[in-house]
Amino acid sequence: MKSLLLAQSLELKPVYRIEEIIPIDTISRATGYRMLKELEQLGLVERIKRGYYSVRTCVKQPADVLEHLIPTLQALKQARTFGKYYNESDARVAKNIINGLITLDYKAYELTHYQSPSKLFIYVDNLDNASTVLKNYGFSEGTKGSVVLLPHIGDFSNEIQRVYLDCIAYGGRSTHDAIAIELLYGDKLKTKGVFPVELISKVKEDMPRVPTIESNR
Amino acid sequence: MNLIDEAEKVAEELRDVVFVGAVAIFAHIGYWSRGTEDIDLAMATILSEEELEKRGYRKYYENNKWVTRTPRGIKVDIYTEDVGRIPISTIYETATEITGKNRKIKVACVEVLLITKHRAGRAQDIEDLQNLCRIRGKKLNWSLLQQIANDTEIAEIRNVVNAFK
Repeated sequence: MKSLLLAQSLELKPVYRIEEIIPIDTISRATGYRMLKELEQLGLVERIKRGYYSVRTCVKQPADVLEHLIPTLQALKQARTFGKYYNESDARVAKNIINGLITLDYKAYELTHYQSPSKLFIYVDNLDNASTVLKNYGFSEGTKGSVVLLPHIGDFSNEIQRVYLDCIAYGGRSTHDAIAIELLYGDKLKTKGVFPVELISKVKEDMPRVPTIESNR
Repeated sequence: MNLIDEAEKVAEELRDVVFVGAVAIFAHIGYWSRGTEDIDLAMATILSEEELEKRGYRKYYENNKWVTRTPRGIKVDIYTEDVGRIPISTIYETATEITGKNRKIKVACVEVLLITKHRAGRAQDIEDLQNLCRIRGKKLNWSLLQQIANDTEIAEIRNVVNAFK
């Protein structure tokens, strides 16, 4: 897919102007917009506001890995965000009142103790029902909350595999969670991502561990 | 472990230090930040290995490299010359003071964090930069940015701030 090649050729940046994504000197504007639309539909590109886009860092994964990320990317596209007090207590409350499968930040922390969690992502069977439960507890839906409901899309038969793929798909700091999961649970993973060697070294270095050899100074 | 509690203890033990990395990000954007349990700090008055050891900061050989840990076992990276090509002197001059439970600690200002994150350019830096701009972008000191960053970097930061405005 040409749009994927286009996205993979982009340098990693926090924000892209539309003209930075569409090379209008080599393709027509119409083709460029069509490609951008395809990337948005895949969930690899997100429109922040008119003229500004972000590209998920997972776009750099090889095509055979990206294929396994599509269900997560689709779920993230349909995610609904909630907040009440807009602090860490929101996640504590939501954990107790919502039935579902926790993934990303909180699950990665439970598995690896590598990185502190921020948002609570939960896969639920029915987004509307779960949303009603949160609202009944005083949560409001918006863009700034830390409780994120995701629809069940894709395969959940191997929970660690799913959380690992979710972390790769979400990108950013979650990429480190994916590496930490692979370091600890590599034998449970059938599909594995591709990461820069220096990033793997960084995660290994920062993983909580018992010191081994003390300086004999 | 509470990162700010640990930072307070480190500041008590090592005295005049400025926290960069996860502690500074947490100080600026609170629970929206994610980070590992390691501490990065800038130190203007360099302490020798002996002095560090006297204060309980020991070196361990892990993953083929020497790592310094606080008396409580937290990994600490000490920068003595620059952080992301920003001189330590600038990091001290522009540092912000925050109040912890028991004492004040100094953390790198948002502008310094933005530039160091931008220069590092890894996936996690991009996420941190987006969060810093989203939460603190309206109150940036652009004249300070002009002193510590080049025109391209400032244009990039302006783009991110505008996107999340």
